[in-house]
Amino acid sequence: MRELRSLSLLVATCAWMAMATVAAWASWKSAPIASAAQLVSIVLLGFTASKVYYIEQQRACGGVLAFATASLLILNSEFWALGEMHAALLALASIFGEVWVVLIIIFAVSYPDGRPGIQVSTGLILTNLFVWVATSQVSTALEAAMAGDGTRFSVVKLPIVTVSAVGVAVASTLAVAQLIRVTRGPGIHRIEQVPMVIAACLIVATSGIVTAAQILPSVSFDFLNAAKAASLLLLPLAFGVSRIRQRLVSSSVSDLVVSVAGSPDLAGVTEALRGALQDPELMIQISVPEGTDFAEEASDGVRPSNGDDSRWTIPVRRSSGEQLAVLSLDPRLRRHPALVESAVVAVGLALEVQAQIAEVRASRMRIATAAIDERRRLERDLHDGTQQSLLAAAASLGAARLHVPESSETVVAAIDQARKDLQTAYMELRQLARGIHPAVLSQSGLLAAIESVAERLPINIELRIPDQRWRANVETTLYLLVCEALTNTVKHAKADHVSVRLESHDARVDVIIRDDGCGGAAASDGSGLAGMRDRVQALGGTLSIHSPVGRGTSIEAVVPCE
Amino acid sequence: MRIGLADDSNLFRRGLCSLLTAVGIEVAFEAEDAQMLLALVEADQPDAVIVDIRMPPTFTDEGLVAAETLASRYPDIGVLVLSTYSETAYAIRLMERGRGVGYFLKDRVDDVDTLVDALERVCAGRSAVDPDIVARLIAQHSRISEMAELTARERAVLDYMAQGRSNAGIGQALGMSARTAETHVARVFSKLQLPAGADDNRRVLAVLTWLRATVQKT
Repeated sequence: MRELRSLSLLVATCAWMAMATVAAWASWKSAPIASAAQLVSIVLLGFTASKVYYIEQQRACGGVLAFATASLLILNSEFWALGEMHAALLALASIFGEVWVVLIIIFAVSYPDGRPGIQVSTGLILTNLFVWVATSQVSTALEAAMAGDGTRFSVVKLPIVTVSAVGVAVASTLAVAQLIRVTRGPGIHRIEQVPMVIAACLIVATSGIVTAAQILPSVSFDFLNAAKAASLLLLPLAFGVSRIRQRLVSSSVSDLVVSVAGSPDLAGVTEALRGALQDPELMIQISVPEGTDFAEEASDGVRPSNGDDSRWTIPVRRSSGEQLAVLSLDPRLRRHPALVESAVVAVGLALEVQAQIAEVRASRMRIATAAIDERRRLERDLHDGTQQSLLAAAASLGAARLHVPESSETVVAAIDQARKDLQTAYMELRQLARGIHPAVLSQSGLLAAIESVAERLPINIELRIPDQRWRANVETTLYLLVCEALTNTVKHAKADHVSVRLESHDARVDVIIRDDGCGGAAASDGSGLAGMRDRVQALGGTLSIHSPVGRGTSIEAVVPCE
Repeated sequence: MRIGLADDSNLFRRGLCSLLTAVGIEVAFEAEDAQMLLALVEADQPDAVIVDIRMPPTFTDEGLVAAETLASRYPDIGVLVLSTYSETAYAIRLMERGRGVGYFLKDRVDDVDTLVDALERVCAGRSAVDPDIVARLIAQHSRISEMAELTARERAVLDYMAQGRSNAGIGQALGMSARTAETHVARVFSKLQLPAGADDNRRVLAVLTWLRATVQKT
C-alpha cells in the first residue's frame, strides 16, 4: 500500500513536471525567470496536492489543490496563445487561469476541516473573486484586441486593473479575517490551519500587488510573473510547516506520558491533556468502583456527559483490560489517532500509578494508626497491670513496716530499702507509660496533654492551642510532633522562648512550633524529626523545617483531620 | 475514721486496705466502680472516700466525675482522689469543685503519714494537693522566672499554700506562729498580685492557677 502510494506520487509529480515544461516552452525565450519560477511552483503545488490527497479525510482538499494547479497550468500556457496571436484562445486561458486564486483560498481555509464559518467566508471570497475574474477577462480581451498597436498600457486598461486590485484587496481582507478567527479559536487543527491561511493571504496579496504593478511602465512582465509564481511556493512551504508542527504536537503528547505520570491528581492529568491535545473541554470520567478516592474526585469534578453526542468518548483501560476511565474528546481529534492513542496510554498509566499511590497511602495510614493503637494498649496494660501490682506491694510493705518494732533494726532497714527500690521502679514505670502514651491525651485532649508537657520543661513556652478534640491518631501524631520539637528545643537550641501554635481548619490542622534558639536543626535519617515527618506523612500530611544557623528553628506541619 | 474505697484493681484495694487498717482507719466498704461507690455512699455515709480516676466502664475520668458528684451531693464527706497520673490539669479541675477534696498520687501508699494527713484534711473540709505536683510546678516556675522576687521563706509558704494547708498548718510546718505565717501569706499574695481575702480552699486554686500560668493558652 505504502509502495503504491509512493509510486503514484512519483508518477503524478513527473506528469506535472512534463505539463509544466510544455507550458513554459513558449515563454522560455521571452521571459526566462518567470518561466523557471512557474515551472518550479507548478511541480511543487502538484506534489503538495498529491500528498494532501493521500492524507486521511483530505481527499477533497487534495482535489481542490490539484484543480488549482491545473488552472495555473492553463494560465501559464497563455504564451502559446500569444505566440499565435489568437484572441479567443487567450480569453479562454484567462477565464480558466484566474480561477486558481479562488481555488487556492478555498483549499487553504478548508484544510484540514471545513466548518460553517469557513464556508461562509469562502462564499464571500468566491463572489468577490468572480467579479475580479470577470473584469480581468474583459481586460485581457481588450488588451488582445489592441495588441497590434504595440503599447502595453492603454487608457482602457487602467480602470480594469484598479477593479482587479480592489477585488484582490477584498479577498485578502476576508482571508485575514479567517486567519484571526483560526488563530484565536481552540482546537488542534489551528496548528495546521495557521500556516496555510497565512500562505493564502500572502499569495492573494502578491497577486494583487502584481496586478496593480502592471500600470507601472518600468516593471517588466517577466519580473512580475516571476514574483507571482514565487509567491505560489509559499503554499507547499506552509504545508510542510503544518506537517512539522503536527509532528511536534505528537512528540509533545509522547512527553505527556512522563509528565502526566507525575501529576499529583486527576485535575493535573486533565489539565496536562487539555494543553497537549489543545482541547479545553477534554474530560476524564473515572469508572473505578465506588469508595475509592478517585470516584469521589470524579463525582464533583467531572459531569457525566450522558447523551452529549458532540463529544467523542474512548475507554481507558488498565493493562489487565479492566476499564479505568472514559476520555471525552473533541471529535475533530479523530483525525489524529496516534495522538489520541498516546493520550489514552498516558491517562491509563497516570491513573494506574495514582491508584497504586492511593493504595500505598492507605496502607501507610493503617500501619501508623495501628502503631498508635498499640501504644495506647501498651500504656493501658502497664497502668492496669504492673503499676497496680507495684503499688499494692508498696502498700503491703508500708503496712508491714508499721508492724515491725523499731528495735528490729535489720528488718526495718531491709523494708525501707525495699520501699525505696519499689518507689524508684514505680516512678520509672510511670514515666515510661507516660512516654508511650499520656492518658491525659485520650481523657482530656491535646491542649491538656501539651500543657502538661510544657509544665515539665525548663523553658518559657507560649501555647496557642484550641481546646477541641480530633481523631485519636491525629491527636497522638500532633502530640508526639510537639513533644519531639519541644524536646529538641530544650536539648539543642539554647532558646529562651518557644511558641506552639495550632490552628484548626475544616479538614486540616496547621501546627507551627517556633523557637528563638541557635537553629541548624535538620531531619537527618534516623533523627527524631525524620521520624515525625514519617508519622505526619503517614496521615497524608506534610512537615517542613526551617532552621537557619543562628536564627531560630521553625517547624511547620499540616495534618489532614477528616 | 471510717472511709470508703473505690478502685477497679483488686490487688491495689487489698494493699491499701491492709495499710489503712494497720494505722487504725476503718474501711467501711470497697467499690469496683463509680456507680457502685455512689450506691454504697448513699447506703452508708463514711467520713471520707478514696477514689481512683480511671475505672470501668470507659476507663477515662469516671473517678473525677464521681468525686465531683460526691462533693456537691455530700459536702460533709471528704473526697481524696488517688491517681496514677501526675497531672496538674486533674488537680485544678478537682479544686474547682470546692472544699473537702484532695488530689494525691498513688505513690503515697508508701508514705502512710502523708496519706493519713491528707485524709484528715479532706475530712475536715479542707483541700489537699500532692506535694510532688506542687513541687514540680514551683521548680518549673522558678527555672523560667524570678518567682516574683519571693524570698526562700515565702517560697516555702507558697508551696504549703498550694498543698492546701491552713495558716496554722503552714506555721506548724515551718516552725513559726500562725500569726507570722499569716503575715508571710499576705506578702506572697501581694507579690503575686493575687486577690487577698480568699479562704484556704479558694487560695489553693488561685495559687495552682498562678503557678500554671507560665504556659499561656487561647
